[in-house]
Amino acid sequence: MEQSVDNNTNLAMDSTKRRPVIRFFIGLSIGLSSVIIVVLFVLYALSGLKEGYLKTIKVSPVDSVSLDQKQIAKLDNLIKKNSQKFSNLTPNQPYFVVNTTYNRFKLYKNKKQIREGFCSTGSYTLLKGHDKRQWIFKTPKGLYRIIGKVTNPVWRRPDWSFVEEGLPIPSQNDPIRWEAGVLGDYALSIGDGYLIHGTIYKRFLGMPVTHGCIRMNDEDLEAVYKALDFGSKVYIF
Amino acid sequence: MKRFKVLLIISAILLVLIISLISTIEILSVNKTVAEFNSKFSTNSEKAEYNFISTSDSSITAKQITYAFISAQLEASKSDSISLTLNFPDSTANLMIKGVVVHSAKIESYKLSRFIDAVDEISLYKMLSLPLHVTGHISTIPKVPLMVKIAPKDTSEYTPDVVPDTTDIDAVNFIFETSAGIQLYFYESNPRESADGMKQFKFDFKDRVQSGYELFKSAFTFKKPKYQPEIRIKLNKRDAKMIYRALPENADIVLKVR
Repeated sequence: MEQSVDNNTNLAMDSTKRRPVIRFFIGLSIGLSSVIIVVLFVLYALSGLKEGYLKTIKVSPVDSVSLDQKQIAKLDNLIKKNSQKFSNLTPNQPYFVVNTTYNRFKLYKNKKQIREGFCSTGSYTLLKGHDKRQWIFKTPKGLYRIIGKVTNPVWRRPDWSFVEEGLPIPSQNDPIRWEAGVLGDYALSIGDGYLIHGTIYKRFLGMPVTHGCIRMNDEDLEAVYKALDFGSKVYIF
Repeated sequence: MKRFKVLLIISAILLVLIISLISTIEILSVNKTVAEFNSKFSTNSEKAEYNFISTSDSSITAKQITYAFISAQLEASKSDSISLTLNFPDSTANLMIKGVVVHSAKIESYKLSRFIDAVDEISLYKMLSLPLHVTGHISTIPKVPLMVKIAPKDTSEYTPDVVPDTTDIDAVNFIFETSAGIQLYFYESNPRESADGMKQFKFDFKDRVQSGYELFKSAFTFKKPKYQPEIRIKLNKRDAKMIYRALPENADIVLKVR
């Protein structure tokens, strides 16, 4: 009997000892829940709530300003004039569009697409030479014009083509720089040494592998060469 | 037990107080931004070929919106760089160079901030009649996917280039901050169809945490937080990537919101 009383006293003492621990954990979970509620409120609910108070402005007929027929006609004319001005920005002459992200091209004539296909554009490689010189192989973006057209082009190898193969750089007039047959049957220049030309690496069409030029397959290149003239616009994005 | 109940009540009161404080300062900052926007764009220019009016006539409103949109596109076409036109009523996003559409993408879905409907009509038309300039951007993909290659010392070190990996493995989500204070969020649509869902959630969560941190900082220093209205746009992943890569750092963006 005495032992049983002792046991009960021990249990009661244990439970009194445990109470502050339980309270601590309950308090902690309430605290944590509060923090979580505030954080979630700020992160997700508040963004919708804060604008909920904004009133949509509707112009009442009292505050409304009306235009007379002359002013309406003026607005109509301005819209017509500016729309025409904007529409005239798209050339009627053939133009060429190059997408450098996915290496696709589109050819337009009379504002209508007449051909599309794969091409290859700059690889975005930064080549670092050992003499501190470096080159970025990217196709420039923006509006360019055809400034030169040649058939059976011969490639004059620039310095980087020797550097990237670990070859010594020859003198500027060294005949080793000239290479025939690698640019296809045609080349169109858009300035700054950038060309639209053919390729012997047809399996890479549709991929960003060039040193900045735009490579195309033979049939597409011929169509583009025939369609585009000196001054034709080339849009690269 | 009594002390515990008191603690609970104090916690609840504190929670309500914190939430109320944060909500109040955030709402105040929203109202302040609306007022600032209205005053920034309210003055009529004497040189303007047309001065916008506030009208309840829906046909005139539509004409004014069209006029603002064309004017902004013409202005953007003066620049040499690539610009973006977001036409929400038509659900199209067009990349343009000198006024020529070089790529047209479909906006899968969008959500405009209520701010657009809360600002003064004339101020809104004026803002829309000029292109917005991108002042900053955050993205899950690099703007320029540059690869560094060290030139070989001689021909023995030279290895021909391998075929590049052109699979779209990276999730495409980005945010543009603009000169008008509006933030444009671009998300790829249907990220759950690929492994991009979690990446999109992380990108979004990181942005919310950043904004939340700024808000807390303002709340506890009793300063008004910076409020930026948002436009959230969902695009096909390929289109989103094309748009982000094509646009220059300070690109022009033209909006048509109605």
